[in-house]
Amino acid sequence: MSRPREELIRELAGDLTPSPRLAPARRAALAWLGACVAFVALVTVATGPVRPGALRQIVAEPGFGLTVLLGLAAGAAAIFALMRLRIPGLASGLRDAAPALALLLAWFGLQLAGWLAGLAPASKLGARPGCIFQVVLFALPPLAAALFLARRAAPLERAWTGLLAGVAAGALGALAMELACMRDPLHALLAHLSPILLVALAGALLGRLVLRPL
Amino acid sequence: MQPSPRLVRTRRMRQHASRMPVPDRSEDEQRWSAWMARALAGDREAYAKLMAELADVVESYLRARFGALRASDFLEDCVQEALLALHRVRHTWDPGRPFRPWMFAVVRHKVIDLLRRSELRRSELAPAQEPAGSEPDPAHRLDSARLLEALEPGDREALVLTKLEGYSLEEAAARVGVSPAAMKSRVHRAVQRVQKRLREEDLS
Repeated sequence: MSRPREELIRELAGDLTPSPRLAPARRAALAWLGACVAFVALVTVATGPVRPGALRQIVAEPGFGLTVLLGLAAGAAAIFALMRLRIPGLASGLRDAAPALALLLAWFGLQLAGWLAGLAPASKLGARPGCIFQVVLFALPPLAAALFLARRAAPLERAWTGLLAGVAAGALGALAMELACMRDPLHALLAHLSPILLVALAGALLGRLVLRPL
Repeated sequence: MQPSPRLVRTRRMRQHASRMPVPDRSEDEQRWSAWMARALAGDREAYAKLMAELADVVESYLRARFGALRASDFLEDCVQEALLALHRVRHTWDPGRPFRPWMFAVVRHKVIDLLRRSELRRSELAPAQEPAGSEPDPAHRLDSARLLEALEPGDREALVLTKLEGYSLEEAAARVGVSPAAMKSRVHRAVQRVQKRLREEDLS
């Protein structure tokens, strides 16, 4: 049995304290992106060598440049969608996640096409042992940060929010490995990009667990 | 070919509804936004006014969509839970954005959540009796239970029996003459459908 409505309203008004404003979605996404790109770059450099000439390849080889661009775009689209999803009434799960998922799919597709067509030369230069685990490990702090930011707001679709956090974080880890580790499309598919799916799945499950229901 | 009596009745209701005065939403929007902005700065008086007004709005919203919920504790629970949810997430409202979509997104989410969890007694949900001598409000009846009416008959029956009338899955399955698994599937489908329609309203 509910208590009188007026009593509840009196209590809520009595409980009112000035509330700090939540950062707008775009600003929060940019802040996460800036901090997490810096973090992933730092740990990548700190934990091993970076493939010689990787940065030059971005400009010199359009295929590689496009790969890097797609990875960055997928991560950015995912975190922007997440920051919108955490505010009620601003976004809906599948509709807002679609651009990020499409970019991720295109990223996979580009690597697959590169492998099938034998476009990119397979090379062991810069190979990092255990890169598959490094993608996951490097993605964990950004994943935690994204979920923390989502938790401070009110995401109504918790699994979608968690999944987007996983895609954004996993994309940064994979991107770091694309730049640091050996360049080979099949290796990239199996050891760099596939872990994104794992992190995304973990994000979706964690989203259900750690994000508070209304 | 003559239109069916039901179709004629529906047309009359729509005509009646179209003649009714339409509330000025922009005025509500401005007032609620102003009160909420003051509330976020700590103005308790503005907040109490806002909550009192929103309680009525949420109640009307629920009555319009779930006609079977009349004067029940469940309806009052929905209103109060919605107020509590709005209170908890008030910091997520952006003064630069409209208030109404934000508020209804929270309310719809809460209602779906409560509908999923509800264990209602039949007595709470008995169809409302119109007061003797009073004219039924066609506009209200038109809206009444339109969410339920949009469901397939089998799914609607499953939802009403289990969620609104309080039967267990097994009891409802026995009444309808299907297996408990089939009843569970119908209930799930119906809740998904209601959720989808509420979301569509959210986005429109």
